[in-house]
Amino acid sequence: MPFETNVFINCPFDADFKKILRPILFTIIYHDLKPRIATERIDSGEARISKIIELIKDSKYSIHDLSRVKSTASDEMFRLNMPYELGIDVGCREFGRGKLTGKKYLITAAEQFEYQKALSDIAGSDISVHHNDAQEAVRIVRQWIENQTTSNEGGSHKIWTAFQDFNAYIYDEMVDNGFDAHEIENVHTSKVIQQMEAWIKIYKTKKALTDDLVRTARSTSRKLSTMAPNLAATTVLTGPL
Amino acid sequence: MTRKRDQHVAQSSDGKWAVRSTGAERASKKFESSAQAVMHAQTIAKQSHTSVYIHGADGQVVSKNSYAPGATLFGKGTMVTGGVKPPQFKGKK
Repeated sequence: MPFETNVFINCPFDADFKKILRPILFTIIYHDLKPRIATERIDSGEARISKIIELIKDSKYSIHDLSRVKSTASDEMFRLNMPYELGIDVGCREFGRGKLTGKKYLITAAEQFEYQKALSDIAGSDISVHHNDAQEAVRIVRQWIENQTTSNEGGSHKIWTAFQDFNAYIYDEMVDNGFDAHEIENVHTSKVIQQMEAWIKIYKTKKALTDDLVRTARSTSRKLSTMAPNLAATTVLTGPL
Repeated sequence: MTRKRDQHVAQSSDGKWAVRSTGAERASKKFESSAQAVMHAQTIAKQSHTSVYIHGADGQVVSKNSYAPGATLFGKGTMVTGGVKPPQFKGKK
């Protein structure tokens, strides 16, 4: 897969983070980029860290989420995987050659400044906060992609409503195919990515056709109003003749 | 793809509850409460024989009422009057 469009996703894959992860994945795919996750090859026997290093080297972009640097219960350990992989990515850019020097990354966190207590070395880095809010996650990832690429897919609300439509479609598809509520909620992330890619491709094709039709209708209406103002007015008021 | 006139109810970033059709970017109407929004969406869906999807804060579907001919608990078969609800999600969203 091409380096220029790959986005390495370094974030928690637990059930709680799913509400943030899925909108992030959708936003990435919506911008014609390819999310790459460590669990995308679940049947692979290779060492996890080798796979992660390979993904980092293969991805121009990466998103590192540091929401889990703080434990939420007294007997819970804070998670070190995300800062560790961020470190590898930073090292890859700093010490790498050629295309690796052009790597870009976004660091996200649930709360402002919380991560700095655990990882003060990143003070001064550009970090976006999503407050564990799915819509906010779409907003910050969309803005970052727009700043890094020439992509212009519209605003975050447009992407958010498309994400809701996607969820409705997948819900129907899975229910019709005999999946229960638990299975629908726990679809593997790599499968969700495939579903999003297929849906967004069709969605954009349909959207482009509709936009073309609207443009043609407007253009025809303008021509009509120039050629025969009374006829055009009649058409607008009464519908097509 | 879902049908064009299916209705979606979700809380918008201004805190209000929005009702919109599939494919639309803008809400057709906004309400102070989710109950009012659901009622409005159901009225439209009953008239157009489509469905109402209620979305959680994470964008996922938390429940669906179908008023399409042939709708049942799992979306196919004979029609159930007044809409149907598939099983609710359990656990953390």
